[in-house]
Amino acid sequence: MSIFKLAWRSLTQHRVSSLVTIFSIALATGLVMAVFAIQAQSYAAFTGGAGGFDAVLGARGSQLQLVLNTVFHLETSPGNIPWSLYQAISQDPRVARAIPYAVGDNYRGFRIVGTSPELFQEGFQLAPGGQLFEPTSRQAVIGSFVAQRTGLKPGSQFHPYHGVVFSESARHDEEYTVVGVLEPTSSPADRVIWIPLEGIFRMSGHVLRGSGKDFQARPDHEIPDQHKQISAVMLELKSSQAGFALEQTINKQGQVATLAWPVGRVMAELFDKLGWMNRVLALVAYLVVAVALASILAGLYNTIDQRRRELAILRALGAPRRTLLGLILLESGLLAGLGSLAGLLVYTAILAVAVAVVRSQTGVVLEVLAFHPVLVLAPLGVTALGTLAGLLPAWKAYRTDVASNLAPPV
Amino acid sequence: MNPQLLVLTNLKKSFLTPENELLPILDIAHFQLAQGEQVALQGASGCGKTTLLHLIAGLTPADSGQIELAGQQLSSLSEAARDRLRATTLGYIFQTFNLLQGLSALENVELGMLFGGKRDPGYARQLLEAVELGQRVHYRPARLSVGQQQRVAVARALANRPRLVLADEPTANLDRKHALEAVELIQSTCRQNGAALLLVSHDAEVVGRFERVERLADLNRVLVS
Repeated sequence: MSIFKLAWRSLTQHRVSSLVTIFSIALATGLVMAVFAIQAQSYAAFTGGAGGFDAVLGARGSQLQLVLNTVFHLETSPGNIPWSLYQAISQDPRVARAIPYAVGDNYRGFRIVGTSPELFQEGFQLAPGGQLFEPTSRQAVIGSFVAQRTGLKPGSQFHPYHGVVFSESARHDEEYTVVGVLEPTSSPADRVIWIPLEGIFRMSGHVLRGSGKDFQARPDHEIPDQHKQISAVMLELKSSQAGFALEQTINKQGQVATLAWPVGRVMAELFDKLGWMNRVLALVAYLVVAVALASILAGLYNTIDQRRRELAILRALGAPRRTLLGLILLESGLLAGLGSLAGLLVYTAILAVAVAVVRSQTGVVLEVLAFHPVLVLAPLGVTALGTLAGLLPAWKAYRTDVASNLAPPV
Repeated sequence: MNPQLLVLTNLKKSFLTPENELLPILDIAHFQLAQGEQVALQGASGCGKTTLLHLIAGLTPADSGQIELAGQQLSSLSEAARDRLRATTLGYIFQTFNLLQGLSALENVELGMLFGGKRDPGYARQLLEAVELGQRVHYRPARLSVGQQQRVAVARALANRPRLVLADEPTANLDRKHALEAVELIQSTCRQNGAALLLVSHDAEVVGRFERVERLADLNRVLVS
């Protein structure tokens, strides 16, 4: 027999209220951990860059919309830029790599992006048995998430649908063949179907306005460069000074296009704007913790009245008042400690759901088991505060009068 | 004659009534109990028997007078020291047994030694075997008969190897047969363990088992007057 065993027996004796309290502590701790961990991981994932690209060049407009559209494959394109702009930037000595993107179609909600095979030279790897598309063929390379969700695999054929939102009635006549599946990259690229740039230009119903006049490509006829237009150009710059200089030239002096540089900064600005939301979420989590701690206090405080005789018996057997104080604090500490440990399971469950949702919505992969200081600080903090929440009930136990409580209630 | 284990001198205790008046309960000029001695204190209900035991155990402070237990004046001790003295020197058998329902018989007996610093699970088991509960050490009180619960309470009172066992109407909840058996058990186990016994009861047949019987009506000047 020990004080610890006595505390444990007391909790098991009131097991329903103990379990409810532990559950509420677990929910609160799990929620706090999830809020902070998801916040930190999302920030890192969304501001961490664009798969080797430093900047995005697109139509004049919002940098954020440009980045969301090209890097995260969300939102609509802010507009198109003429092919000549791509040619100019790709020949700029400050640019190491320039990859054109043309968007505007989808397959069952997964975006189709027309690009050049050079995109896959860095940051991508084909799954065994696959190959890259031919620039002039109706071939496609698909992201791993697309393959997983649609069942498409090398040899599969599909029809693109017009627009970025899936609509059965918007089917294009062209039929594409999947020639390769990319290995997972844990990035939004996993949700993309990549086809040759030429494919977007020649898709039925697509009108090119690169020259300012409408132009529709005809089969077996070259498309003059002046008619071509694309959605954006992904840029890898040779230095950060190049970024400063290009930003100056394109954004401040020019009026034709927009350069989103650096990509991480654009997303960080978005997060900063949403900072109030994070603070509200954190506040809600703290309030839930406060309610859970209050449940420890109320639960123990109420049981003290029922346990006055038990406490008086312990005093009659020689237990000092401070032992009763310690006993109740130990009980509150055990409730909070067990709740905090169970909170890790709640955190894992919340993260597992969040990871699945974020991945399916954006392609960004968060890690369930990634370390964050809150995973240590929250359980320790909640255990400490939970123990302190037992102070009032413990004080009530401390003041229990022995003589008047030894006899059973009449 | 054995040296005195317990000496009461001019011990007074009164309670405040709801009308805010002092109601005298106890006024004992002198009482003493030798080491290993067994005394029955007889008195009717409400005559202050339980209050007297609470005073001796240091659970309630006296208004005035002296209580000397094992050579120590209770009034000169701090509350913590009285707790310590109770944990190491006294065993207490309650009228309603006061076993903790969440603990097994063995754990209840171990509880009796927890605060005295002499933890000895083997001795606790030995005590339960001595009161013929060796086969039921893991039973919780609710699974034991009233007589068996009383025996657990006896074993618990002896768990800290006390020098004095206080028994407060220990047979009040038992039928005649079990009451007499319980008294016999308490007396014999105290004797075997060298503990003195002060048993209070209103039951003439129970107190008749003791060589020394004191009537509280004779000791307590409140009742005499």
